[in-house]
Amino acid sequence: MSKDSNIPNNYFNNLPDKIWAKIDQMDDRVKEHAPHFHALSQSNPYKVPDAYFETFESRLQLLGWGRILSLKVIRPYFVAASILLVAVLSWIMMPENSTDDPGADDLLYADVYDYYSDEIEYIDQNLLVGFEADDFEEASLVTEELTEEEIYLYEEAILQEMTDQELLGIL
Amino acid sequence: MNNNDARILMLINDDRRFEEGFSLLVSSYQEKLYWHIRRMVHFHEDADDVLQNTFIKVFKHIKGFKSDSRLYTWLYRIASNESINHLQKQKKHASTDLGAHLTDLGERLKADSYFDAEQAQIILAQAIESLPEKQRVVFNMRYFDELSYKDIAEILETSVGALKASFHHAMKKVESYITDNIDYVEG
Repeated sequence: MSKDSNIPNNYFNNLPDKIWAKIDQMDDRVKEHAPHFHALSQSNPYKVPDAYFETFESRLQLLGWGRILSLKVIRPYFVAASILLVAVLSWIMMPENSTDDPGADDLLYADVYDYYSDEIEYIDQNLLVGFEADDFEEASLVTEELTEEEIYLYEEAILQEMTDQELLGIL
Repeated sequence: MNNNDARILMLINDDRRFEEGFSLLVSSYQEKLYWHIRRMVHFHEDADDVLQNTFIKVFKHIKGFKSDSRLYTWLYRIASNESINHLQKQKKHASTDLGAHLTDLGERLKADSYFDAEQAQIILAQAIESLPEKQRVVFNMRYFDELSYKDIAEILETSVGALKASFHHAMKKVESYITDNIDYVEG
């Protein structure tokens, strides 16, 4: 017992451990502390379709990792296409390359960009389908198209992963 | 690290046996991760989407996995983050009022063919849904997944003390919600 106060020695040092020990005991006594919750939590109301887990992996292969493998294969082509797009746009926008087409002067930069963006997107989709069919013989993937969001996310990931040297190598 | 995880990583690190290793990983963890995700998102279709995204993310990053953390805590971390991302995306299109959100959840569960639509179970789902997302993750991992505080602390990169406090606060809130609403239903 401490002489300065009427509490045991090291009382405050030991207090946190005592409190945690009591809290841990409460963990084992959910039935007493939360009887309604305990009663309801004994059954699982969530159900899954028949054979869901048995077929999950094969569906994952078709929907997921087959696509990633495909995208890894087209990565260099995609980057090359992106660089080509920038080069074409730069060339078009140079004043000495403007045409005498009376309509051309009226085109805004955004219109030109949109036009070439659409073209590149179209080419990429075809490239993807070609590689899936040729390299992986996964015919079911041929009919699938990636969404714009997926393509955008992979573009980002691909460009981030590439080193400067890899980019220069493609150029 | 248990023997199964060690075998998964050994296969994955061998380029010729990568797919075999990844298949073993999926078959070993799909059910555990599914149930963890399902309790967060409630609906099978959503859980299926989130589980697929989780494994795709695992697939993309498994080569960079550092074995200084355990495989299953790493998988749970990805699954939890994917679940929270999914819920936050949904929130953008949903009501910001908690009461309206819980009522809507109740109605949707009632109509869901993959949910046992007993009123008491709907109240339990609403009670857990009323917790903030991160607290819900802790609550589910501790109670339903039966993970230790040490493992949860590793998964969520937080302290055991903070987790214990969070869990007990959550348990009180859940019990209080059920008590109030069961009385209301029974009354």
